[in-house]
Amino acid sequence: MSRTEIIEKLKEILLAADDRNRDKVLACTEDSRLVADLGFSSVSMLYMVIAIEEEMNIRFDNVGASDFETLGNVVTYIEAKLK
Amino acid sequence: MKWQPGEPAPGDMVRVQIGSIFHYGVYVGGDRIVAFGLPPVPAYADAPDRFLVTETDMDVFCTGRIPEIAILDRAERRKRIPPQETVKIARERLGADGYHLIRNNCEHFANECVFGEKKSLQEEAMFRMWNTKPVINVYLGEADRFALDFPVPEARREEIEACSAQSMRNARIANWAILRLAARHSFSLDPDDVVFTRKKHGGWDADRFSFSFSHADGLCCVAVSNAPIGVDFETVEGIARRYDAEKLKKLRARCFTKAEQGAYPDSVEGFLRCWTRKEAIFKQSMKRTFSPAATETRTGAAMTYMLGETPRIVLSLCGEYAGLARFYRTDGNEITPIEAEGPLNL
Repeated sequence: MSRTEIIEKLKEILLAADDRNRDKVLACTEDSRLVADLGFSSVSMLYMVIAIEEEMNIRFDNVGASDFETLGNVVTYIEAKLK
Repeated sequence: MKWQPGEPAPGDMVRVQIGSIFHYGVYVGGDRIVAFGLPPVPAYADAPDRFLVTETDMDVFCTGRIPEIAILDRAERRKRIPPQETVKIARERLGADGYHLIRNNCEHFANECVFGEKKSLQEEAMFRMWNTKPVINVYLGEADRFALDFPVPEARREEIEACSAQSMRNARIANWAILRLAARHSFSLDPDDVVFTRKKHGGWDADRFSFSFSHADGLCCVAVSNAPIGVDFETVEGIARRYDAEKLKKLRARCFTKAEQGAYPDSVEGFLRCWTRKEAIFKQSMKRTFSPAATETRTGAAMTYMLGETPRIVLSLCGEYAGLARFYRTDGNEITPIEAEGPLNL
């Protein structure tokens, strides 16, 4: 899965986790920051992790959602897990 | 104020440690120091000027101990009397008496010469131990009521201005505005005199009290205390709107410990009682990473309160006085006490 494909998949997941900033999520890029740009809360970050695990069949090893500042950080983590 | 060994300059406050107490003086230049009384050591037990303001050589003041110099912080540097004026004040007091071990000692004298006010941290510490009154106050307010038209630390201003999510930007501005109100209301402090520094894990710290922020669904909350504090809240309506029963079940499975699974009611409110406790415990701990599943909430470290009808707020506090919290609503500069239900059991 390419980084672009991961980002597109992530948009669906992010909207399921928290749809309060729908327009921003749809327009997000790898540089978008989960909290400062997309307005994510700690609960929505946790749900994002759960949804990524289910959708992409991976497991986040002992990392918290707070370890990811940008969407690019999440994509990099997923990319490494999918290899 | 910090203390470190070094060469004093005229007007500096200097101290030496003698047993469990400190002896203070004001360096006046030329290896001379003015202090209220001689150091409390046997060699001076019979000296006639042992309780008078006296000028001596540094050797007499130090009695073989290493002197420490007061390093003033920014707020203290603003407040201090110019050093040459301090030297003049100290020398004008030579020969003065009226020494009192608790109420008028060498530390009061040195502070009076440097800051123009009699003050003794040793005395304050003693009274604090006798009179410590727990303070734990929680202030809630709307997030969109404030403009960034008040002083904030530069690094915080950058954090606020870097927010493109309007809800987050509003919350960060409101939290700081409410924090300033809280400093005045809870501790009678001018917020401009409070020194804020960034903590290692990225949060913020104040030199005069402990505080913690939370925000959700257009509301902001600031908790302040004279003991380390962590706060978190969510609204029942906000969580219920975003997470249906199936999603909540997944959240519980992922972040509750096995014992917590059976301990909290199977409802949005039950989920939030546990979740907000976890967040409050994390915020008080000053750890860098939040690991919800590894944070046990049934220890009594955090306590939960319910506030309001619509929205229904679930709020948890972690801190020494968490069970004694008082709650206030802010509207502009208006602060009104509000009722809270709690602290609640699991």
